[in-house]
Amino acid sequence: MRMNSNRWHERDGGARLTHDRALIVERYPGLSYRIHAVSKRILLEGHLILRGDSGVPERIEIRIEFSDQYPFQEPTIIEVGKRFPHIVDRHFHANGACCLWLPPKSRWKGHEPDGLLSFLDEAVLFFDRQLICDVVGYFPGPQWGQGYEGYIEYVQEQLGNDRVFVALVPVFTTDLNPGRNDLCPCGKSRKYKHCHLPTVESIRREVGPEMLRAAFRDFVRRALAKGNYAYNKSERSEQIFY
Amino acid sequence: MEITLKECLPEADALRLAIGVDLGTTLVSKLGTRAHRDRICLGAAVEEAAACEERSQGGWIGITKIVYDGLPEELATHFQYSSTAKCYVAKDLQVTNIERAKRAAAYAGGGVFLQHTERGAVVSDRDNSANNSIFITPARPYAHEQ
Repeated sequence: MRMNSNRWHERDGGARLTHDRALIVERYPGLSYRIHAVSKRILLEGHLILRGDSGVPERIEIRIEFSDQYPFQEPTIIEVGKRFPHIVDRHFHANGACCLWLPPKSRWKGHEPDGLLSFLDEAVLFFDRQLICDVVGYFPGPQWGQGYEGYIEYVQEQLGNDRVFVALVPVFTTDLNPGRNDLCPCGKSRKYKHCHLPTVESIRREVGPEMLRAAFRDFVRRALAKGNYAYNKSERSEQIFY
Repeated sequence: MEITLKECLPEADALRLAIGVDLGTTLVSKLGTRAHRDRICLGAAVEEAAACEERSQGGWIGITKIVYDGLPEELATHFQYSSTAKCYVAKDLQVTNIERAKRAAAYAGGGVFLQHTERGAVVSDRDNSANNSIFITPARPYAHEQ
């Protein structure tokens, strides 16, 4: 019986690697796989060629790192050519890792056969927007706020209503823990379990309770610093003034 | 043009091109003996374009007022009148920069078209569906301090 390896590229006789390699050769021939000498992890590295309508090429040097949980966990793409400033404002970590999206809104489709190609297509547009940023001086198109702000924006979008968001802030900071059969903090005369509990649980699951609590405590701290937040725990009343 | 020239002639790396443009009626023909013919272009507009080019420095594009007046606004903003070149001049204007500025609006408007070719990925604000391009609304990037 074949032992199942911890290395993703060795599992199932390397079927996923063989499949991915065939796709990469056809669509992104500037990239090739290599096994890191020390970590023994597999890397995909090389260059992407980007062109506009004029056909003038732009070469972007990248490296893609895969965890052992690949394809269930998304790979990390790193811009190694230092073509762009590796700063948070440009959605890069200091080591050049690209922040393509907010984790709860990840577009990684590891379960799909061509998930890696879709991922690389997103990377191409990410780098195209970086090139545009160099010309126009701002990052084009929508983007999430940095750090905790991004998660707060995500929650606001999920709730879709500023009034509801304000009412549920103490729930996310865990200052308020309504029971399933209590009235929903949003103010509607409905039980919490029939009102916003499913949405709150979904957000907690997507973001993670620790990150959520930290993001909201940071949000309240900033609001308090501006003097536009008040929460009375005993009366379960809160108010945020934007 | 300069990028293509330098790709074909690496020894001309230090060469900077100046371009002059005018608009008008010209006579275009080929002159010479069989198999040794040169293409020629005659007319006042040709002379004026050549004068603009001669008064411009390397990396400049000089255009006359009639050309400037006919430019769309997003292109006209790149040109300013130069008293030395005696025409409207854009300095180090590159087609890629113009394309990218147009694509910035496309990203803000929802997305762009991506097409894979043998020579790389082509990103465009125009629909080239005849060439198997696909429309993609890109993900919203995010970042946090590590």
